Amino acid sequence: MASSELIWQCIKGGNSFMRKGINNTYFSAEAGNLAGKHSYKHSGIANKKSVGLTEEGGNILLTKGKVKKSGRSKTVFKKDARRVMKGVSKEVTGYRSDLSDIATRRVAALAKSVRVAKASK
Amino acid sequence: MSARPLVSVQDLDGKSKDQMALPAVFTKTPLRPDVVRVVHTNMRKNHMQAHAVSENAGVQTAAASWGTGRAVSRIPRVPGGGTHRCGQGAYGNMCRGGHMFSPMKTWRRWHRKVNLKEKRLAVASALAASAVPALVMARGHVVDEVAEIPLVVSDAAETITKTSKAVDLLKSLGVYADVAKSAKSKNLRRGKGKMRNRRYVCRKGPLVIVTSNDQGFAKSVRNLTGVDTANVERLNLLDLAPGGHLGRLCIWTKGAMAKLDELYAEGTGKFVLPENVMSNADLSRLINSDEVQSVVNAPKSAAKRATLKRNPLKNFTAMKKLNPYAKTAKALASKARGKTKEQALAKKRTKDIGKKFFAQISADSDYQGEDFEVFNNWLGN
Repeated sequence: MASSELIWQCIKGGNSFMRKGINNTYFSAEAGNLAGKHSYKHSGIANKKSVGLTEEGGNILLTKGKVKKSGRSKTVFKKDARRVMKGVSKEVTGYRSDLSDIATRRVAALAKSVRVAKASK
Repeated sequence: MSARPLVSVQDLDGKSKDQMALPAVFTKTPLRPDVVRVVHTNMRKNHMQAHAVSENAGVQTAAASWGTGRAVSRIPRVPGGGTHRCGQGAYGNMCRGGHMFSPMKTWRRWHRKVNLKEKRLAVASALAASAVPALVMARGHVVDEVAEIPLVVSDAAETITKTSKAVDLLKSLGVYADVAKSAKSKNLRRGKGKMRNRRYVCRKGPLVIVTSNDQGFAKSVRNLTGVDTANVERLNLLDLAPGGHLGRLCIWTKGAMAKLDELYAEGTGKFVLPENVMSNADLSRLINSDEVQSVVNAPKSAAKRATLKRNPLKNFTAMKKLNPYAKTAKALASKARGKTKEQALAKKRTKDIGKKFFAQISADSDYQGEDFEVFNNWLGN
């Protein structure tokens, strides 16, 4: 029906998830956007295969796949940060290898936030 | 007519028990945000009402220019005496109390004519876009809980007459989140529109599309914030693509969906569906297809960048690359020098002693450490 390139052409001019940064940069608040950047590669809406990483109750939640949040396949990572990073990296490299670097970085940031939250409790 | 994709029809309790073929509009029509934007901009002008500044604003004086030679500018001045107003400039747009530059006239061309075919293409394109979940999400609708897009409800919905029942239906369909978002967004309009009967603004919610046989669904739902209603036979681009943006969340009744097949018939008919310029717009599939890959050149090896030259006389790895014997030569040489393990260990021990001594003297010099404290005490501190 509508290929990912076509959808990107429709939404790149403006969509409800676009957020402006300084110096003419644009960010994106979509769920399936790993780097939060407004670009075709990172878009969680335009791409059929997209990866989302969030923190849920102290665990890292990796979602893959469809556009709607409810239709995505989830994997929960409960172990320590190093193992989670390995696991996530493995999953993402198999699914969307161009995002594996970004995924690892995001996991590191999420894991740190979890650690900090636990430490401050 | 190739096999049409099926869309599930939701029952009143939110479960999908029925299926129907998706009308061709949704799959065949090209997505044309450019056309939609232009048509929308022009269609939106059509409900403007003529307005203008009063004809006699700024000219209700008998002002005349004093001409030259009076040490004042040549602007027309108000005649007479006995008040401040006399001798003041009048008429010009630069004058206080004068008319504006180019006073607005009611005969300005407010409305725009859009070609019928363009309008129809825009509506068809907007319909197609409403069936793409990505675009509906991108437009800002909350569709996480919605079962399927396009969202079709069974015809039983058309018998709903109470808003409360309609709300129950929307909740079971998962669409109520969008209505709630709209309700939450209701705010006072900024500016003068507040006092010109446009007091509130809110986000757009779902568009409910019914047939002419509707027995009250549209009415039951129209009081909800953000919800708009439409009849299939009179679909309005301003509702399907609010703001000129594709992807309105639409709720169809089964009958309405079926009617689309008649209205936007493939092939012959009153309105012929436009063709896509590209039948397959999936770039990655095209690039990776056999037809393309078989004719494409082999991938070029990446450009070889200049590497930093390392001096083999100083850098042993560089030396080994040039002279593989260097490794064994080095081992032999060190053996000849008689550097045994014991000697290496002894050397390390002397080094450690030296480090410790250095730490000691630096501690002493900083007036720290045990000796200094003894000294300090002796001094009488």
